[in-house]
Amino acid sequence: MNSEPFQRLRRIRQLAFSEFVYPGAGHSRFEHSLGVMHLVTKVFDRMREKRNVRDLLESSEGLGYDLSMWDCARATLRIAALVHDLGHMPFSHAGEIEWEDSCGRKNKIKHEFFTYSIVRKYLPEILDNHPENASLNINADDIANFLEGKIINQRLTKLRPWRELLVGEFDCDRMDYLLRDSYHLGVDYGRFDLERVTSSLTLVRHPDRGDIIFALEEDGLLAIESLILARYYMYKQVYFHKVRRYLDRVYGDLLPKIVTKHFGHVDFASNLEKYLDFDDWVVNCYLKELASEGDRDAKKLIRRECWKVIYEITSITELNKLTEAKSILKEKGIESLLDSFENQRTHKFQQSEIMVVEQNKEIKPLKEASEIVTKLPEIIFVGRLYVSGKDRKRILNERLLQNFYDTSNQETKR
Amino acid sequence: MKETFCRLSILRNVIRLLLKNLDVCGNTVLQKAIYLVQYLGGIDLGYEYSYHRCGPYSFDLAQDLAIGEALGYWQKKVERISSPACDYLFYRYDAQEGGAEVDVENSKYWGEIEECLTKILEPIQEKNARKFELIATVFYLQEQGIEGKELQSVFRLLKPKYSEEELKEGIGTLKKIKNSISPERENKM
Repeated sequence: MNSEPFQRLRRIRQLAFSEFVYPGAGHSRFEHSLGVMHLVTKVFDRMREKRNVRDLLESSEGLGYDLSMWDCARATLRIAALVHDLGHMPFSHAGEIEWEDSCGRKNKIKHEFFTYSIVRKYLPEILDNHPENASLNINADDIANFLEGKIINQRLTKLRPWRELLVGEFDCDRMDYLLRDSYHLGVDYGRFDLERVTSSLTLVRHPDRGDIIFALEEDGLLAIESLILARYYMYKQVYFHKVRRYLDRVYGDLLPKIVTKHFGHVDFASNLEKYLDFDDWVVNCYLKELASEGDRDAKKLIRRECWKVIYEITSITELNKLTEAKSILKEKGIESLLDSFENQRTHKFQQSEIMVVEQNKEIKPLKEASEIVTKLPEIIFVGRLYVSGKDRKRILNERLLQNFYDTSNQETKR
Repeated sequence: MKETFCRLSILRNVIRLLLKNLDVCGNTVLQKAIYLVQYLGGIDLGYEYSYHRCGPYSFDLAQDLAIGEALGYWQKKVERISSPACDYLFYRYDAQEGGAEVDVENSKYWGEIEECLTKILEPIQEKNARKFELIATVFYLQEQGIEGKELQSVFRLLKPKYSEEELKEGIGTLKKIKNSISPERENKM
């Protein structure tokens, strides 16, 4: 935890520009990472006490866990949880924009890629000499491969089921951010019964394929429904908030300029030191500098000057209307900003893959066990068109987008 | 956005092609077929894969499948398989005419994918999800440098419901696919 990459997380805000909407949202990836480690430990220890889980993992027909394998799994999971977000850009997901690499190819920056690279480069020094690791013999590659979902040897094969606590339908990453974000923002949408969820998780064999997967005991069904609904509401209400999304987009457009000012031309993938030197503090300094030089977008971010939503869709099927609206405005000489492809799946896995263990030990897909969850849309989507306040008045006065409002009943919203 | 429509148009073509050769095109078949096209055929469709539950799996592809369904590129129906041995749900995809059309049919890009997918399908005798899962998983393990006896023991831990015979047959089929896609590479190995 005292290492440079981990301390950097104190300077990476969890929710980017949500702070401009919810003033309490100043929390960082640092406490989130600690929270995820705490939760995976809690779930792991509870599951280890369950007889069916022990039978499944310890039997020779299962994964043949012995005491040292249990200890190895626990430590691997805890370390992986602690480091899972090391690779975030400044302002977290808002910084995950398209980037040109050293060969001139454009790729979207993904924090996961940098996490694996940082773990492989910086963790060996810490793990290899750690006294508690002498008997466990965990190496940085194991942690990176575990996070990456790679199976390259028997040990990782045996560890595989636990990865679902970090990347799965019931993962602790999701549990922590929903509760933590709700707490800091002062909203209730993200709350659910954590104790019930964590005590209801179990491991079973998939009824058809026979592989070991995470499942939910039936008595935790209501708690899991509330977790899934909480995530749905948080996306709708907080993560896709119109002001936050607007500022994220403006920041994304400014980011290459900031990087060039600070580093010149840089390929972060081959220069991790520079990547680690890049955090919210650096960005804030440059935002002020750019604003003082008269940069319009930097000023917007510094002063929270947001353009207004002139048209919004909530169904992905209306995507063409959004682009049509933008074209109409362009023809009239009106500049607009389109935020159109922000979407999230309601579930990580297909609903048929999420299993519930009934009282009689029968295993049933969540799709059949929960009516509420089945009715949620598979994609959480929002698309918006933003214009300046002055242009918005003109558009409304001249009724330039009237046809669009009539069909989507947006007039009342304005 | 145009790139997304292009990917979705390609996926629709993949579904059409698979449906010419298979009775059912579900999630497993699609996930594994695209995996083999990307990593065995060397045609990058931009999907990142990791190992999940039933083999190599891409969350990005799952996202595209959900978006494509919402936009009308294909339809997804849930069906139940029920027998004394198993009882589970699976999804069946059928290509539809909706969504923004990007003309990929006549592109060189689609030509390569079609050729590659045809070569993948040809040696597989029983063309179903179980076989795709087996072949994609064996290929995944080989790509991670796991071979021989270690491959057998890792595979047994991951997939206890496949017999030794099935595994052997899967390794043989994969070899034929590799030979047909890239004979030079196979002969060198």
